[in-house]
Amino acid sequence: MVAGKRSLRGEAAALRAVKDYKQSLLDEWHATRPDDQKLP
Amino acid sequence: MTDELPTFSTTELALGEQVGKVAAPLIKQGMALDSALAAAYPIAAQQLIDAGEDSKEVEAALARQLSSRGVLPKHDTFAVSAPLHAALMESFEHWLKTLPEGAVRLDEVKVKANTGFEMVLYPNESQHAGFPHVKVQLQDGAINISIEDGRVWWRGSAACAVRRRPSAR
Repeated sequence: MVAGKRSLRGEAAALRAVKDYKQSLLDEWHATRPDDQKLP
Repeated sequence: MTDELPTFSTTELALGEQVGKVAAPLIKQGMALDSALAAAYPIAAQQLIDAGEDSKEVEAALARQLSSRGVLPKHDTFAVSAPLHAALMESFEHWLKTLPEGAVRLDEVKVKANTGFEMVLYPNESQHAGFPHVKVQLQDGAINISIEDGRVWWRGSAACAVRRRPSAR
Protein backbone atom coordinates (compact mmCIF):
# COMPACT_ATOMS: atom_id res chain seq x y z
CA MET A 1 0.00 0.00 0.00
CA VAL A 2 1.12 3.52 -0.76
CA ALA A 3 -0.08 6.72 0.84
CA GLY A 4 0.85 10.19 -0.25
CA LYS A 5 0.98 12.25 -3.40
CA ARG A 6 0.47 10.47 -6.69
CA SER A 7 3.05 9.81 -9.34
CA LEU A 8 6.12 11.28 -7.76
CA ARG A 9 9.43 10.86 -9.47
CA GLY A 10 11.24 7.86 -8.07
CA GLU A 11 8.16 6.18 -6.63
CA ALA A 12 8.65 2.86 -8.42
CA ALA A 13 12.26 2.70 -7.28
CA ALA A 14 11.17 3.42 -3.70
CA LEU A 15 8.63 0.59 -3.85
CA ARG A 16 11.29 -1.73 -5.20
CA ALA A 17 13.72 -0.69 -2.45
CA VAL A 18 11.15 -1.38 0.27
CA LYS A 19 10.43 -4.76 -1.30
CA ASP A 20 14.14 -5.60 -1.52
CA TYR A 21 14.92 -4.56 2.06
CA LYS A 22 11.68 -5.93 3.51
CA GLN A 23 13.24 -8.25 6.06
CA SER A 24 15.80 -5.81 7.42
CA LEU A 25 13.14 -3.10 7.68
CA LEU A 26 10.83 -5.45 9.58
CA ASP A 27 13.69 -6.50 11.85
CA GLU A 28 14.45 -2.88 12.64
CA TRP A 29 10.77 -2.15 13.24
CA HIS A 30 10.53 -5.01 15.73
CA ALA A 31 13.84 -4.14 17.39
CA THR A 32 12.89 -0.49 17.97
CA ARG A 33 9.33 -1.06 19.17
CA PRO A 34 8.69 0.24 22.69
CA ASP A 35 8.69 -2.55 25.25
CA ASP A 36 5.13 -1.89 26.36
CA GLN A 37 3.85 -2.67 22.89
CA LYS A 38 5.59 -6.02 22.46
CA LEU A 39 3.03 -8.77 22.83
CA PRO A 40 4.18 -12.00 24.53
CA MET B 1 17.95 6.16 62.93
CA THR B 2 20.12 6.25 59.83
CA ASP B 3 19.88 4.68 56.42
CA GLU B 4 22.37 2.03 57.50
CA LEU B 5 20.87 -1.41 57.29
CA PRO B 6 20.95 -3.46 60.50
CA THR B 7 23.49 -6.27 60.62
CA PHE B 8 22.73 -9.76 61.86
CA SER B 9 24.96 -12.43 63.34
CA THR B 10 25.11 -15.85 61.73
CA THR B 11 22.97 -17.28 64.51
CA GLU B 12 20.29 -14.69 63.89
CA LEU B 13 20.37 -15.40 60.17
CA ALA B 14 20.09 -19.13 60.83
CA LEU B 15 17.18 -18.51 63.20
CA GLY B 16 15.39 -16.40 60.60
CA GLU B 17 15.82 -19.09 57.98
CA GLN B 18 14.56 -21.78 60.34
CA VAL B 19 11.55 -19.65 61.30
CA GLY B 20 10.66 -19.35 57.64
CA LYS B 21 10.84 -23.10 57.19
CA VAL B 22 8.66 -23.76 60.24
CA ALA B 23 6.12 -21.02 59.48
CA ALA B 24 5.67 -21.74 55.75
CA PRO B 25 3.48 -24.87 56.14
CA LEU B 26 1.36 -23.13 58.80
CA ILE B 27 0.77 -20.16 56.48
CA LYS B 28 -0.07 -22.53 53.65
CA GLN B 29 -2.67 -24.18 55.90
CA GLY B 30 -4.35 -20.80 56.24
CA MET B 31 -2.95 -19.45 59.49
CA ALA B 32 -2.49 -15.68 59.71
CA LEU B 33 1.07 -14.47 59.17
CA ASP B 34 1.50 -12.94 62.62
CA SER B 35 0.23 -15.93 64.58
CA ALA B 36 2.17 -18.35 62.37
CA LEU B 37 5.42 -16.46 63.05
CA ALA B 38 4.65 -16.22 66.77
CA ALA B 39 4.13 -19.98 66.87
CA ALA B 40 7.20 -20.64 64.76
CA TYR B 41 9.81 -18.66 66.70
CA PRO B 42 10.10 -20.91 69.80
CA ILE B 43 9.93 -24.08 67.70
CA ALA B 44 12.68 -22.83 65.39
CA ALA B 45 14.87 -21.79 68.35
CA GLN B 46 14.47 -25.21 69.92
CA GLN B 47 15.34 -26.88 66.60
CA LEU B 48 18.52 -24.80 66.35
CA ILE B 49 19.55 -25.71 69.90
CA ASP B 50 18.88 -29.37 69.13
CA ALA B 51 21.02 -29.06 66.00
CA GLY B 52 24.00 -28.00 68.12
CA GLU B 53 23.91 -24.20 68.16
CA ASP B 54 24.95 -22.39 71.33
CA SER B 55 21.80 -22.02 73.39
CA LYS B 56 22.74 -18.59 74.82
CA GLU B 57 23.31 -17.13 71.36
CA VAL B 58 20.07 -18.63 70.10
CA GLU B 59 18.14 -17.17 73.01
CA ALA B 60 19.72 -13.75 72.47
CA ALA B 61 18.86 -13.90 68.78
CA LEU B 62 15.32 -14.97 69.61
CA ALA B 63 14.91 -12.08 72.07
CA ARG B 64 16.23 -9.55 69.56
CA GLN B 65 14.08 -10.79 66.69
CA LEU B 66 10.95 -10.95 68.85
CA SER B 67 11.56 -7.41 70.12
CA SER B 68 12.04 -5.99 66.63
CA ARG B 69 9.23 -7.93 64.96
CA GLY B 70 6.62 -5.69 63.40
CA VAL B 71 8.47 -2.51 64.36
CA LEU B 72 8.79 -0.04 61.52
CA PRO B 73 10.59 3.33 61.65
CA LYS B 74 8.29 6.33 61.97
CA HIS B 75 8.70 8.94 59.27
CA ASP B 76 9.76 11.71 61.68
CA THR B 77 12.45 9.59 63.30
CA PHE B 78 13.80 8.28 60.00
CA ALA B 79 16.70 10.39 58.76
CA VAL B 80 18.73 9.72 55.62
CA SER B 81 22.36 10.61 55.23
CA ALA B 82 23.34 13.77 53.37
CA PRO B 83 24.70 12.08 50.19
CA LEU B 84 21.61 9.88 49.89
CA HIS B 85 19.35 12.88 50.42
CA ALA B 86 21.19 14.86 47.75
CA ALA B 87 21.00 11.95 45.29
CA LEU B 88 17.27 11.50 45.89
CA MET B 89 16.52 15.19 45.46
CA GLU B 90 18.58 15.34 42.27
CA SER B 91 16.64 12.37 40.92
CA PHE B 92 13.27 14.02 41.71
CA GLU B 93 14.31 17.33 40.18
CA HIS B 94 15.65 15.63 37.07
CA TRP B 95 12.35 13.79 36.70
CA LEU B 96 10.44 17.07 36.98
CA LYS B 97 12.68 18.70 34.38
CA THR B 98 12.30 15.86 31.88
CA LEU B 99 8.49 15.67 32.07
CA PRO B 100 7.17 16.24 28.55
CA GLU B 101 4.98 19.30 28.05
CA GLY B 102 2.28 19.59 25.45
CA ALA B 103 2.48 17.47 22.33
CA VAL B 104 5.04 14.68 22.51
CA ARG B 105 7.32 14.30 19.56
CA LEU B 106 6.68 11.24 17.44
CA ASP B 107 9.11 8.42 18.05
CA GLU B 108 10.84 7.90 14.75
CA VAL B 109 13.82 5.87 13.61
CA LYS B 110 16.03 6.71 10.68
CA VAL B 111 16.68 3.55 8.73
CA LYS B 112 20.38 2.79 8.57
CA ALA B 113 20.27 0.23 5.77
CA ASN B 114 21.58 1.57 2.48
CA THR B 115 18.40 1.41 0.46
CA GLY B 116 19.24 4.36 -1.71
CA PHE B 117 16.47 6.43 -0.15
CA GLU B 118 16.02 8.40 3.02
CA MET B 119 13.56 6.26 4.99
CA VAL B 120 11.93 6.81 8.38
CA LEU B 121 10.37 4.06 10.47
CA TYR B 122 7.63 4.72 13.03
CA PRO B 123 7.77 1.87 15.54
CA ASN B 124 5.64 3.53 18.24
CA GLU B 125 2.11 2.42 17.50
CA SER B 126 0.53 4.37 20.33
CA GLN B 127 1.47 7.56 18.52
CA HIS B 128 1.51 6.32 14.97
CA ALA B 129 -1.06 3.59 14.45
CA GLY B 130 -0.79 0.95 11.80
CA PHE B 131 1.15 -1.99 10.52
CA PRO B 132 4.86 -1.42 9.92
CA HIS B 133 5.54 1.12 7.25
CA VAL B 134 8.23 3.54 6.20
CA LYS B 135 8.11 7.13 5.09
CA VAL B 136 10.30 7.53 2.03
CA GLN B 137 11.56 10.95 1.13
CA LEU B 138 11.52 11.54 -2.61
CA GLN B 139 12.57 14.53 -4.60
CA ASP B 140 9.14 16.18 -4.75
CA GLY B 141 7.60 14.90 -1.54
CA ALA B 142 7.29 11.99 0.85
CA ILE B 143 5.20 8.83 0.55
CA ASN B 144 4.35 6.16 3.10
CA ILE B 145 4.81 2.55 2.02
CA SER B 146 3.69 -0.50 4.02
CA ILE B 147 6.51 -2.96 4.48
CA GLU B 148 4.31 -6.03 4.43
CA ASP B 149 2.14 -6.21 1.35
CA GLY B 150 -1.55 -6.92 1.44
CA ARG B 151 -2.20 -5.32 4.80
CA VAL B 152 -4.35 -2.27 5.16
CA TRP B 153 -2.38 -0.20 7.64
CA TRP B 154 -3.86 3.17 7.00
CA ARG B 155 -6.99 4.39 8.76
CA GLY B 156 -7.70 7.68 7.72
CA SER B 157 -8.64 11.16 6.97
CA ALA B 158 -9.32 12.47 3.50
CA ALA B 159 -6.13 14.47 3.70
CA CYS B 160 -4.12 11.47 2.60
CA ALA B 161 -4.82 9.54 -0.58
CA VAL B 162 -4.45 5.77 -0.34
CA ARG B 163 -4.29 3.58 -3.35
CA ARG B 164 -3.32 0.06 -4.15
CA ARG B 165 -0.67 -0.50 -6.76
CA PRO B 166 -0.13 -3.82 -8.55
CA SER B 167 3.61 -3.22 -8.36
CA ALA B 168 3.48 -3.00 -4.58
CA ARG B 169 2.33 -6.59 -4.12
